[in-house]
Amino acid sequence: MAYVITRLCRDCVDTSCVSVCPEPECIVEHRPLEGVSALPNQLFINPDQCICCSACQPECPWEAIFDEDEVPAAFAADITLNAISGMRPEEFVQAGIHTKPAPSADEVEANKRRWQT
Amino acid sequence: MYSKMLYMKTRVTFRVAKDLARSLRDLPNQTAFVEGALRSALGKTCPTCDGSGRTQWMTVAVSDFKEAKLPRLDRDGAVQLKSLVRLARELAASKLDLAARRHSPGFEFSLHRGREVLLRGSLAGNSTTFRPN
Repeated sequence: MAYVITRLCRDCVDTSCVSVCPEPECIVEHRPLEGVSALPNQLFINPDQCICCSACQPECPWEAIFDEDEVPAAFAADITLNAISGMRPEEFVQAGIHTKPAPSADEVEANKRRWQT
Repeated sequence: MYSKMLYMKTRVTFRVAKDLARSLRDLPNQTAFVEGALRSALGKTCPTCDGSGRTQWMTVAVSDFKEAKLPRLDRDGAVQLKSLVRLARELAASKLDLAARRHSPGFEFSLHRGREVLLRGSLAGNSTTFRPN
């Protein structure tokens, strides 16, 4: 059982989680060897690398990270999406750290409403 | 008894240097000696590559927090653990075991390369303490 980055991360891609994750290959980005990524623009947790330390969860300003056991039903498909990084690790690279301004509470709520409908 | 057991074994022929051949001929039970030496040599696997010939220094198995029933890691602890994992890789360690401390917050850790314990210590708050092994 690992942690999962849900679609609440999409297009936001804040990397605060990467800065605290102790496992270098755990939080990754999709970078296929050829062509453009067919996966959404977000970060993924490789379940084979995740040590379930939970350090990443409170760091995400978009509240996009959940324990696999606690992923809301609306985001259940994201568990499989994260698992792809474990099945095809050659297509993923360690996520870089890019500083971004923290979203406001209203922006976080608007993002949740966007994806939960 | 041993001569009877010899019939149950498979004959293997190999070439050795003259001086080694002379030494072997002087031995009272050549088969038992050579067999023992071969088994001993084959049993000695490199702890770093585990006999594969390829070091997997990139992979350090860190304790799974859920399986080991460890408490949640806070930000300071995560930063300490991150540095420790980096050190583990530099030391070509294969395993980093974590355990909750009994009477205070934080973790005890031990860093292994194969069966060898490289380091022990503790992670607490924003500091890491190493204990001589």
